[in-house]
Amino acid sequence: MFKKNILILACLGLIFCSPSYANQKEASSLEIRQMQTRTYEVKTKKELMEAIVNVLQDRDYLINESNYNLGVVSGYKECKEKAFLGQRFARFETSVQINELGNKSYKVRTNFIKKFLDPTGSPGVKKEIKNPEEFYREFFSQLDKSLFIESQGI
Amino acid sequence: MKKFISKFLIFVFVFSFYMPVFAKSVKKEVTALDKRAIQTKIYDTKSESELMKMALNVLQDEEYKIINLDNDLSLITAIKESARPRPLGVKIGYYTGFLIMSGISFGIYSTIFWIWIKDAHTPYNIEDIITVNVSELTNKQRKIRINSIEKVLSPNTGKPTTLKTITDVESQFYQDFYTKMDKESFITKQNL
Repeated sequence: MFKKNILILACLGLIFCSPSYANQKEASSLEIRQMQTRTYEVKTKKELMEAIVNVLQDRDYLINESNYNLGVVSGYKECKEKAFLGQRFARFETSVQINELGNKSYKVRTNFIKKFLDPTGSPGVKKEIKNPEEFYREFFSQLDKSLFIESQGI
Repeated sequence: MKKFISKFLIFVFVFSFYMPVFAKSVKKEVTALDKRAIQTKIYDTKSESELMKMALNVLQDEEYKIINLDNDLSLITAIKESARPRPLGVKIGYYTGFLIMSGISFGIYSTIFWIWIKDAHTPYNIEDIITVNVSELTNKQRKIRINSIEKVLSPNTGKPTTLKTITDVESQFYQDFYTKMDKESFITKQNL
């Protein structure tokens, strides 16, 4: 009787755990684009690009490439992350591009890539960012704040 | 029994005074505005490129190598590689390890461990990367913002094995940089 109860409990436990093994639905390229893109209305392209650079600096990113005419800024950040038995180094890479839509309206698209550094220090396998929707939303909310701060001349 | 309980209560009472020692220190989160305040300084210059030139001179004085320069956006990214001796604590650790391991092996492996000790005197390789961002505030004033990351690399293999990455928010780094910028500003104004 006791063994039977344990078997039933184990089965129930496994059933409750099964949703964590469920395949998550992958976002379509259109959904990803939507997540990564926002439209801004600013006076000049330079104002927007400076705000983007400032946001990246706020997030401790270093700028490794920029082109004003193409409206592209790319940067990276290396930081420690908690892992099983200690810490490991993660590298976040980003590139932001701006496209003019006309009438002082600009489209900003960004993408972030996360990689873990291997024991030799070089970036290893690409890892998916947890909860990307929130991650991008946070970036754009910081960009909103940055544009406001700069318009106030702070 | 009474004696035991009273002793136990005294112990608990005395021990309670030590409790704050075990308290987790709460790290104050640095906001974006705090970071901006530390990393930014305003200078009176004729143009953005004048301030860029000043920053470039400071970077060259500090032996940085320019890896990205965007004149339209007024952005500079530079890198510096240097060596830093290991702290005394690390060296003491190596020597203590040598003594313990030699003792355990009754001196048989002391030669091997003596070779191991040379690591204690190999300096850390340091990589400093800095991003300089210049923007216009008013007709006469320009704003400069810098952010930097310091990486400590593996010393013995020479491979870029990252040991730690430091974001210099509370350190002396920014103050030192701006002191040099002030001097450079004086030199530029005096046309020296």
